[in-house]
Amino acid sequence: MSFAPALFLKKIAVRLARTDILFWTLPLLMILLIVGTVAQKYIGLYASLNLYFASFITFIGPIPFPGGLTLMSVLFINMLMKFLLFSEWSWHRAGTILIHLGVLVLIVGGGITAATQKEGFLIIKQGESASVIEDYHQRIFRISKNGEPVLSVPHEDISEGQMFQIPQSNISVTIDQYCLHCRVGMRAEDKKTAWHAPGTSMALFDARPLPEHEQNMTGVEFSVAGFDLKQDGKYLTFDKFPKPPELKLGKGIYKFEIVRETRTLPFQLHLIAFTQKLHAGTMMAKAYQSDVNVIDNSHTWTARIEMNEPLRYKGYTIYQSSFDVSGDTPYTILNVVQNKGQFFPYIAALIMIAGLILHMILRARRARNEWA
Amino acid sequence: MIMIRFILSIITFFALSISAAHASEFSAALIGSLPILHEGRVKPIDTFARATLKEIYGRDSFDNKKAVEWLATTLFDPHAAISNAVFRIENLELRHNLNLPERKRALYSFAELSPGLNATLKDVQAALKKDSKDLTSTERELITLHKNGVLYTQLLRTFSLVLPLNVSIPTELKPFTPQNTGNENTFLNLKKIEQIALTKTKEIIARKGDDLSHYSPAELSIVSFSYQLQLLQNAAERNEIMRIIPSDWNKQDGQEWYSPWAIFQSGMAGPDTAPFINDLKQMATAYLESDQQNFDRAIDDYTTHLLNVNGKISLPKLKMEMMINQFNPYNIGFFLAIVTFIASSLSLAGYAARAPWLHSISSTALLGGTLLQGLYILYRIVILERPPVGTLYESIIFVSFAALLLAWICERRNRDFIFAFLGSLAAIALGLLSFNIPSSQDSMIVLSAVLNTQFWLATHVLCITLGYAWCILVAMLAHFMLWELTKQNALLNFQDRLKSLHTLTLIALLLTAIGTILGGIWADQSWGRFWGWDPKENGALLIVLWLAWIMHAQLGKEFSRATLLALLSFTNIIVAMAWIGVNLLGVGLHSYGFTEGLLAGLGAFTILEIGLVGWLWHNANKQTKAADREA
Repeated sequence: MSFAPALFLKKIAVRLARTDILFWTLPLLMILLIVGTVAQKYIGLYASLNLYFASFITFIGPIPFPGGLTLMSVLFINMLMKFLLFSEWSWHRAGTILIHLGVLVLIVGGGITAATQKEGFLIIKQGESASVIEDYHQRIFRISKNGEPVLSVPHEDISEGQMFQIPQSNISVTIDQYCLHCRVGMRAEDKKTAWHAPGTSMALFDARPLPEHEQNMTGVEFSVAGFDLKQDGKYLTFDKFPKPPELKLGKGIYKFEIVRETRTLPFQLHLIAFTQKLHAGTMMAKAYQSDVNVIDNSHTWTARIEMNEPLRYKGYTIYQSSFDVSGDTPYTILNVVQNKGQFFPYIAALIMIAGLILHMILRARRARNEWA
Repeated sequence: MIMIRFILSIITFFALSISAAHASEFSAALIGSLPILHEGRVKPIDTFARATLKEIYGRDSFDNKKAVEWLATTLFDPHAAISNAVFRIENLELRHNLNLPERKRALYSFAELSPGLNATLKDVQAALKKDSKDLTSTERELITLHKNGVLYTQLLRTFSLVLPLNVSIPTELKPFTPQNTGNENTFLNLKKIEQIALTKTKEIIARKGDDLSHYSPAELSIVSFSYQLQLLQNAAERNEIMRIIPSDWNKQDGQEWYSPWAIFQSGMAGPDTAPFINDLKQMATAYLESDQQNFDRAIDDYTTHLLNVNGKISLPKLKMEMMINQFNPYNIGFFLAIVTFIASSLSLAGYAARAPWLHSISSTALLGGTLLQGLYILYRIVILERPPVGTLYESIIFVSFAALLLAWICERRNRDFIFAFLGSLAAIALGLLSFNIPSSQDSMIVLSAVLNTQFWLATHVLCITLGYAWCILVAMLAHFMLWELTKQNALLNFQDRLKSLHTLTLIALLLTAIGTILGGIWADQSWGRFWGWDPKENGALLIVLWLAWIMHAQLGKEFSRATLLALLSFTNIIVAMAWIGVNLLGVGLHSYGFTEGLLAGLGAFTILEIGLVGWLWHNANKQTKAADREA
């Protein structure tokens, strides 16, 4: 029996183009959409997004269920195969073809966005400049010596039992426990051996994500060796911990902390003024805006960032997110989004809208001809 | 809370201290035409009075009088107002906690309520510290009652600086009293001798200490007078509810309006504000003397002064709003939708042959209802100077109008009463929802910063709400056709209707898909990303996926006729989830749309719909099988 690869591939392609795939994928996607939406009330948008929409497999209660990435991939392959192999390339089907092409472009754009989008925030005091973005979600276990980072481990690379060696030293750090979403509790009396304060009384426990992402706390319990007998032992540190462990070795002070990942913009923003306009006689914001100077090497120019009017420059979209006017000098909080798939939705939208309208026109014309 | 306690403790004393007079055939309605800045919008006092009375009393008229008459009594005659039984307390436990007597109608006056409010201050403080979802219904109502108590107190105190006070001027101070300001003991008159009284009080205290028993009657009179004036001022601290004086003389905050007390206490009183204060004084005097002519004249003078300082005030708009408050075209349109529903139901039931005029009634009422609801939406555009949909309430009335309009267009073509029946039924259901939507008592509210964009409100929001209207009509037509399938009779024009349903579904998909895409583009403009899996976005996507699934399944002939119609009927539930349900979650970036209190209604609707459509689907299948067997 001979094996014809081309025929085999064609058979697979034909199977992948069948409409029953769409028929069964869409309800699954709708179920996932409902579950993922309702879950946001309990675990927040970010955790729900990771659990349901940005995963290949998830669980609804105890039942395994295809995640958003799986369903979108199946949908994309099915539509692509159908589009390439079975599209009826005629004028009266032009609208339908355009609609499906638009959906395909949208899914491609969504994929690129999911893979490349980075989101952070920039806090600038009025009259000052800034260029360092703090990431909303990425956490780093950072060890610094006299203020200079000597080891930075992204949270997704941390696992229990892992050991790190601090470069150019004999200091080793072993991860005893790590939790992306921690809850602080009391340490049991019989488990206090080798612990240093505040770990003697305080312990970290894995917890369910909280709805407000800002309330979630990443933490790590770790053992250090290589200092001296007095200092070696077990420690803990967590996000926003006001007193992270500091250990001395010779002239060096080593600090162990969980921090947000930072990135530096290829330009600076100088906040000239932040303005908040309220609806007269209320505390409700009518508009808020930041007047900034964009400083890129020797070039400087003025721009205004306000609601629905972000600043777009060098692939970054900077928009007005929040503010703090409680003190003497106002601060602006700007969201910075980097997304290489940014223009796909616009292209897709144009194609789909054109397709939908064309489809309606052609359908109306056909109906009129049939009537005649 | 300390302020609440303070205000409540002295209100009775001051209300009683104001000279009371009783109006008989006197009407204060004209005051309703004056403008006030309330919740960020300049509106007629009539609207403010209705909203405030509804907030406290639950209705927009009191004791067979217009809200504005009630407000005038509260403002100009606090002595009478504290005896008005205007606080509605339906909760038995709360009445018991407030130590209120039981009566047929659970209505109580401020005078009756004050001791209870004072006694429950600690309870309300404790309740305010709780998470809102942990509050019992009694605690919620107690918080609301205290808020309303503060609101009422502020209203009672609003004009206390121009109202005559029942205060005795000490003999020693009488020579210093201004002679050219009439005989009224108003705060503004007495203020002119306050400094002298204060100096004398300090001298008395320095001489005799603070033990009142050591004072002579004359000294006691001066100290008491000084104390009363101070107490009156303290009670009016931050009394800003009635912002009726525009600040156009002040270039720095030309948008702001101030209450009389705010003008006085912030040191802004001067030649620019004097005419307003003087007119208010005239109004107060005329009101207390039931002098209609002088009252109306004072209002005319006040209006003239307003127009002199603020050219942006549009009297025609204020008058139009007052007129619409009186005769709301939306409500009349709702009534006409009921007429359409009854006439078309009778026609569909077979009475049209015997009563051909039913068709005229149905079509005329449908057109009238559509025009009136459209007129109301147009009026809101003119008043608010923005596209018509920016809140949940506005989306409901817009969908109601769109459903009626669409029904009218379809009815003109088909003339079979079906669309008149379905469109009017949709408008009635939406009308009932709009009347119960929990929101501000004044439905015309200003929008938060993110919604403050004419372009996206006019494109994305209108497109998606039109999509909702189309979806609702699709679902209702599907219900009707499913019901037709349950009947034994031959299905007249069923195939034509199926085609219409297909076209309507396609348009619904077109509108919701374009609306969703436009929403994504708006999100990219506002938040830098097209899609964020936010509940509101997911809701819109759910409708698109649902309709796309049904359309594709229909093309592939995956469903029987009854199943297809049942699924299209369920579009109602999908729309309700996407439109209202996601707002109940209270999460995501669309925080401006959050709503509370509709969960039970949404749940009941969903269960009812599942039951109804399930029953229709079951009977339709049974009927189809029976027909197949016969064939």
